[in-house]
Amino acid sequence: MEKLKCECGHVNPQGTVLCEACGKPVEGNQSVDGNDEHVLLNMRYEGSSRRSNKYNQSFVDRIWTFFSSVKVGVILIAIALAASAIGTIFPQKLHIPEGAPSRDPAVFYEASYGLIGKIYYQLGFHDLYDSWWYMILIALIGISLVICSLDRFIPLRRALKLQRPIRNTTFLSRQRLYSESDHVSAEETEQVKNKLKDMRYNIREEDGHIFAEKGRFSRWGPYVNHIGLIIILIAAILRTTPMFYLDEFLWVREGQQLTVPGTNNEFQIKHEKFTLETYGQSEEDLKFKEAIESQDELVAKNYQTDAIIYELNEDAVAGDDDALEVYSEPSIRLNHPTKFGGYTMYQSGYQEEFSSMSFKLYDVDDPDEEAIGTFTFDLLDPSETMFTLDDGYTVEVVQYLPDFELVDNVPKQKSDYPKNPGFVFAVHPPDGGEPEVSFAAIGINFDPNTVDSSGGELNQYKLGIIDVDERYVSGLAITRDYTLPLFGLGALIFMIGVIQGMYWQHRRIWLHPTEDKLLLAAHTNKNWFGVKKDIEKAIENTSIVMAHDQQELEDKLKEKESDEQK
Amino acid sequence: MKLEKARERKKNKKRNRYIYRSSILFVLIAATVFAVYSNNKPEKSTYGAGDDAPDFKLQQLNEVFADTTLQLSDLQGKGVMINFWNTSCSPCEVEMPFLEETYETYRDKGIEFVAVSIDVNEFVLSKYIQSFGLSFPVVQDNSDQVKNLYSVTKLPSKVFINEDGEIVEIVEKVMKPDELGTHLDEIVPN
Repeated sequence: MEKLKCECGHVNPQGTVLCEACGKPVEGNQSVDGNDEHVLLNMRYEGSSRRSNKYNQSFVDRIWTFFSSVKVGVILIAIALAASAIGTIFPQKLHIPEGAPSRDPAVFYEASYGLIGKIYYQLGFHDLYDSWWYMILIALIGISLVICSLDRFIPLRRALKLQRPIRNTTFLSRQRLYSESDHVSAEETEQVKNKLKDMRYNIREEDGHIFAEKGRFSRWGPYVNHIGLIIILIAAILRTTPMFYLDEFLWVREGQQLTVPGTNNEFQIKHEKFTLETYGQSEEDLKFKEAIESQDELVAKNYQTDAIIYELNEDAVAGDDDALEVYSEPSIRLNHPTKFGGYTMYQSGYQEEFSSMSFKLYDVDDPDEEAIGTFTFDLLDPSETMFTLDDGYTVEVVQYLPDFELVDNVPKQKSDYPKNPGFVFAVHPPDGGEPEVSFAAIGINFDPNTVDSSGGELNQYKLGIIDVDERYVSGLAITRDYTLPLFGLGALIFMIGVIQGMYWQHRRIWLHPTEDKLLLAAHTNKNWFGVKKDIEKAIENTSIVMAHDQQELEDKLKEKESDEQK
Repeated sequence: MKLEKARERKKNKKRNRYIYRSSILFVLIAATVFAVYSNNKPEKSTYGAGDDAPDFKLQQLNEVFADTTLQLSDLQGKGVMINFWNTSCSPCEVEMPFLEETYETYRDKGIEFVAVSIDVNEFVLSKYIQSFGLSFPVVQDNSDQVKNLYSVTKLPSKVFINEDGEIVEIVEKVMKPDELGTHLDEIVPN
């Protein structure tokens, strides 16, 4: 490896574009920043050696070089952007509508969207944001971010640290702001220096060469910004672990006591009472009258679960209810969660469900279907299954299916909860005769004797549903998120970086005396107008010529050239 | 001499750069692998083969053992098969008759069955026990506590526990009679 020794005596690392100390363009490397095609120097990263791609490279170096390319980073971001956009075309797996004929992704996408849907599913876009390749894509962006930043920050810092007040004249003359002045006295130079000092420039001098610098701090903005992004990515990684992030859901019925999922059996919740308030119930809601009437459904104003949270003793045996201690008795309302043991529980939905059914017994021959007797059956946890009615009739619930469906004319139980209850009753008449068996459900009142080929007598009595009571089932979300402060910190650092880079400017002004002239050059990373004003102010009342904006000159020159060509 | 020193320095520098780059790349790749892994790994159950089976205590529902509580730790010394099920699970229903048959054979070999039902409805459950004529203990886990304790996600799920109270295997699918026999033979106490 050859080091590049500049004529000022400074030894630069391989790949340097502009000498770190004096800024003289290193011959042969000008193509890197395209300096050979322009009059003005490209001051990006101070012309420091960013990538050591001229070395004999090991495998590690090659990976490093790959990721240190901004081009690669931009391509990765573009791919991620495109993929994320495609992921929003059709609903994600989790958001397949409830009412879809089939919620199985393998069926849903093809059935709903045809061939495109099938391809969408097969390429894994239906579960994009959790798919391994999407995660790897995001991780690659993270790697690119870290390596690009390191590969630029370190040489830039080095170059800014090593820069000397004495700059090469080529470096100066190829700056955007540049002028040459004759006959400048030492007093005038001194005056400029003091004015710059007053404007809070840092002044360094060497052999009468003056270097004024301000706001170097602004150059670190993008890197501070990247640190913020990296912290956000780390937070996102931690969010995939149950230790830092937990998200569970629970349906709990009024009166039911359940273990809170995700809490390692530490907590139980008992749902005491559910309250649903809708708009339009109170007088003050009158002002929303029109809005309410435009809705087909009731608009919920508040829903609330009054519950008891129990904590289980640490060394208790599971299932032992004596080991439970009341932790709190919260009212969990929409947007007013309750907190226990690091968990937060939100009210996030409700359902209505049958809680009990009332029946009447009547004689099939009675056209008025007058009730012989009535009884009420608890659907969730029935304690009473034999009902003695007036006149000595007894009705026994022989079988109860909370949620049944008919499979080949045989009732099968579909779930545990009373969504579509079905009953087999035995009616014992007062004379102690044979009980009559019948099957009843919503919309069904079935006498088995009608299909019985043995020709049994038809039932004399029927049972009809007269009333249904409902109860609420509360949907509660349980979360624990320790990554939020980390996200916040990342966002804060990100913002600090943005502000640092946006609201400050790195301004540099060089005064370079030669044998008969004084060269004045200036550079800033943004706001050229500002630095021009600073120079104007500094050279006021002196014979120093105001710096010309060579960019404008260059542009004009180009315009002229193209005009001539026409 | 100077040349040699320079060469030496160059070599050191190259080595340092190599170490620096390798270690940063290593950390970044490790973080990536961790993120992808932890996001895609299947829900791990808290307890697995080799662990001590966590204890529980639930109310008996089978009339054969009327009004007693069953505590798992009381069964130490016997091989225990816990079966998680409920009445609305039709694959569980398919298993019931031969579970009953198998129980009769293996009870004398020192094996106990514990059927943990996650039903909410005691009445429905009792009717079910009667209709299948079950003779093994049935307990009701109506607060989901034991189900969560064993991280049961599928029904039926079976946990085979040896005489020392140690989990030998967890099977999360419907079993055929001969399969069940093989698993039970493994937990027959010596």
